[in-house]
Amino acid sequence: MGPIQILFGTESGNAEMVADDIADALEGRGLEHEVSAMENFEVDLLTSADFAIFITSTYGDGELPMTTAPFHDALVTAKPDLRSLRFAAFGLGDRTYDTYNNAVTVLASTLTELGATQVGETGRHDASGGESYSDTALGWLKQLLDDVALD
Amino acid sequence: MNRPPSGSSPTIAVVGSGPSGCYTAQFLRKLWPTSEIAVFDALPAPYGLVRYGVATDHQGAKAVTCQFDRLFERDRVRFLGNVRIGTDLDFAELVEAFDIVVLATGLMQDRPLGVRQDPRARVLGAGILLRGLNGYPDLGRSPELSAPLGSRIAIVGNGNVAIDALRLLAKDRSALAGSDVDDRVLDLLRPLPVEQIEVIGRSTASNAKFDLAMLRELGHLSNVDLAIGETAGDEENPVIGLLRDLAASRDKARGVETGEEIQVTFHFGQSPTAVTYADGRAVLETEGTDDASRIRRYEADSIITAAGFVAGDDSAPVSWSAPNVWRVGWLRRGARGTIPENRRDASQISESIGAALREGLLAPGKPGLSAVWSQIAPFVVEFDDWRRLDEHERGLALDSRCRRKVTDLDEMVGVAVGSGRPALQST
Repeated sequence: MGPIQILFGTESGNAEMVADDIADALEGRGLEHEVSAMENFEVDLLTSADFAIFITSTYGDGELPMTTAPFHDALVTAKPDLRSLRFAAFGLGDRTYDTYNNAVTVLASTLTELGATQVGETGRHDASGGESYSDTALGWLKQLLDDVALD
Repeated sequence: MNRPPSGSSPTIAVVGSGPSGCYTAQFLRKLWPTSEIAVFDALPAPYGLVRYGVATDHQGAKAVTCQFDRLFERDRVRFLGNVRIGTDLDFAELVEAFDIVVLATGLMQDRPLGVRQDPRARVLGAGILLRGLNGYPDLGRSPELSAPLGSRIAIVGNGNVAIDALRLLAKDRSALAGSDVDDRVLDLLRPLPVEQIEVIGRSTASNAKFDLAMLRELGHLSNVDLAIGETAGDEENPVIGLLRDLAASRDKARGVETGEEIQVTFHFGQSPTAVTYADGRAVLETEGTDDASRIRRYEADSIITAAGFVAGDDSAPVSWSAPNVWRVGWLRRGARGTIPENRRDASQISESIGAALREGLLAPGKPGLSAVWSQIAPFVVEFDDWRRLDEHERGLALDSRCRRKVTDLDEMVGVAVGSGRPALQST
């Protein structure tokens, strides 16, 4: 299996921090991985990837962050064949707002429409809930790794 | 220690530990993993606007400090609090000591309305209000925040700060669960529930600057009745549409009234012309932004102005300039944009700093913190000290609050450095 692609889209940097945490945790388990900002990642590369972890926040009134939106647009436009891709998704949001974690839902559903298979539950961090980003993300990752064989 | 070739790793001072300063430190740390980076703040607590400006009930937005904590805990960035550049340490000395100086002091002063104002009218800046509710040091004692605002309030402005002020004054104590609101200040300003709030903005509703998500949030407040006042005929837009929907869904839910409803009315396209005083009340006089004959008067016990921010005593003066000095965030761009927008600014400024060094416009070699340490050592509050204060404040929290800030500056320092502080160590 190729390296796990960790792709993040962020506005305030929190999703990037979560991506770094997930990368560290995979490192600790000896799992090969690469971290990229979605804005710097060619969507065609996903056709040859085996497994990817998508991390995105939600911005404004439920919109995709400025760094997630172009990546999502490219997916919708280029329609890469993602049937060989398995992925997991983690969102950062704030329950104060009605559009809580809208972006990760939009992204995951687009990936699924392109043939990719989502594994595990979509992780969701609620910034207004008081739990640290790392605790939520690493708890979610542990569950994911328990459920899915990635090596 | 493995240092890169000399010249490639500059010493860096950042003035101001708000979001712009911390993001800049973060980007510069990525650029130079081994550089000495020192972040100064005039206060003994870090994070500036995140701690004292972001509304106390928006703890989700405040959680961005998790990232900044890492800078100081893991990424070897030094926090040097309780050091006011220009007072405790000369700006000229800072510029001499560090290869790169980044000014990120922000803008804190409420922009005045710029109209004739009767001194008897109670007028309060939204910035001071939010800082006061956020437990800004020694502000709770100021005369501006020590008397009740009254039952009828007019808020001037149609940006997110106006909505923050409105929401915090409308929420009852229980709706502020999980916040770190300074209850003492809130009780002083609002001993009894507010009855009426009018929000008056210059812009048409189409051009109003607040985020729809902020308006939607108001729809969740069970004690708020939303209404639309002046619209200047501009009614087919998302803001008016949303306000109508929220008002309608409130009407539907009637029957569970608590008897303590707050009537909140939004007026658009009205420009203030004067603040007068009549019958013991402040009066905001306005005219239509497009039609000066459309004159209105809004009577209120207090007027809160949310017209933006300008440089005050806490902002770096224009004269602070040198070839190795950069400005970032609100100080550079003016007081606009959210925290993410200013993160992008920090990223761009960090890139230009990197380019300046690559192109040889600056030659690193200045000693950094060691050159000024002896001057600040007697009073500096470092990150471990702040951690002590941080824990102390969390421990003080009562009534479902997440924190009770220490608001006496001397007490903050005392708690932070502890009573029996060991001999100060040099770097």
